[in-house]
Amino acid sequence: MQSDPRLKELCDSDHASRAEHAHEKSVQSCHAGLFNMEYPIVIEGERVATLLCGQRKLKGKEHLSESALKEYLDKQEIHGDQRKTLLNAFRSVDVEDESVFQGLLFDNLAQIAKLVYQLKKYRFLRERQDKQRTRGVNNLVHEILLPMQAIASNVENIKVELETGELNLSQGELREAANAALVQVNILGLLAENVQKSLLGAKEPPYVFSRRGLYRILKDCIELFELPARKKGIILRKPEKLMHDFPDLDMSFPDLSRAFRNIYHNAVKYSYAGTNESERWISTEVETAGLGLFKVSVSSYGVGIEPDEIEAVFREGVRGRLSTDRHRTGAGLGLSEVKKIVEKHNGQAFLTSEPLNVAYKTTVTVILPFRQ
Amino acid sequence: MNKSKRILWVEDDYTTIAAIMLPLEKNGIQVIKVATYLEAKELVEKDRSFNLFLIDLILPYGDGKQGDDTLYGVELIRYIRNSLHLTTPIIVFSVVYDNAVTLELQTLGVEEKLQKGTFSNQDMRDRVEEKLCKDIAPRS
Repeated sequence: MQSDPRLKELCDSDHASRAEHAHEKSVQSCHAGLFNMEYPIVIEGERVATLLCGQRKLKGKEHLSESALKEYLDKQEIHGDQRKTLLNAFRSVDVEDESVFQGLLFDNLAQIAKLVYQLKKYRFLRERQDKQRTRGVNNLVHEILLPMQAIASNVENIKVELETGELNLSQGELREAANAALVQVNILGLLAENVQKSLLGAKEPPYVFSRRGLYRILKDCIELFELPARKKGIILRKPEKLMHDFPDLDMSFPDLSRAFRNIYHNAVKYSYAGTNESERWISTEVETAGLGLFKVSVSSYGVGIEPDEIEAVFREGVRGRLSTDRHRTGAGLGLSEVKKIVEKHNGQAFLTSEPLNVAYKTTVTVILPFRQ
Repeated sequence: MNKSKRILWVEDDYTTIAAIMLPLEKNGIQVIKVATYLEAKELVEKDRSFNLFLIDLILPYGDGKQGDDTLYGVELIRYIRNSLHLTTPIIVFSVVYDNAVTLELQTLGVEEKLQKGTFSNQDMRDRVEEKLCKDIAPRS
């Protein structure tokens, strides 16, 4: 068959297709009835190559091979001398005992596979690293350009309106455009701080603690993210407790504020938009949690985090698999910064994420001591 | 001219950057916004009368399925051009910077690829109105 260009092409395509779909070592018959062993080479769960070897008839299965070949020749409309030649060639192919065939071939292929694995592994890992780095850079760029676009567009609308009045914007619309720009300036600032602090790592200066109310931080966050949440049809609920129910805590105010801005930013970003049929909300619950501890939980409904990733998403640069599910980009810094800041306050940060109807209910909980 | 023109804007972050379309909307152009590949595909199947498509390349698929690296914006453009055979002008508005993607967009007859970031509303309005003025009747 290899001497006929058309048949050779069909053979090659059959081999390529079987190599691409091979999941485990197995003996399979080719489209023309001969038996091969397929031996996929897998590196870290990803098939990087498949060895195909054999092209033999198996003892006791010769009739299967011949009927498969005849069916194939009929399908390809190969008749006359060409058919006779191919059938004769086929009949001269060796017949192997299946156990010998499998045993020998398996041993030989295993040796070759080991070499191919070594050759491929380094390149595979390097390519994967490159890919992850590129994706990380692209995500970060997206995280910068999106708020920039929002700021530029809102400010341009305000400027045009003030200069010409041609957009015919009401006072309310002008105020909302200014607010939208300010929110995005804050989000950009949050990203810059996250990048700066994560790059500083251990060199980050020690926190300076002072006694402040947590209420102010939560109130500022809720006011900041109310507009982007509302635009997505999400209600950002205030905590039910009043200001005087909140204790004063020893805190590094700017850092703890950044931790909660990250939590609310994620909550808005990964929430599914509300629709006419379904109301969505982000809720904040606060309570004392044992002696000298205060607990804040922020819950949202949307893209979830799978159970095996709960720990990992608190690590720098790690994003949940489902977070790319809706192709949301992200720098993967927010939660790692939350954990770091909270732990520097001798507190704890953890999350739960459970399927709830079409979305996941994800709750980020922070427990902080009253005193340092 | 603009009163009856309709644009389909496919963008999952449209609530964040909606301001860029405000001048067009104030000028009477109807901007229909959808956030996912599936929503856009279903809408275009039913209604092929849009005068322009403005498409982001990084889009969610739309059924909450686990993510992959597919650029669903490119998939949508392939669908519009190769399956629906629509010749409606397409502008891509995205942050994706990739030569292979740019080349494919050219072969798919994408009119322009605009970079998100600080693209001006006025420029967007000019580009969109220029395409709409060509008055290419969409056909299937």
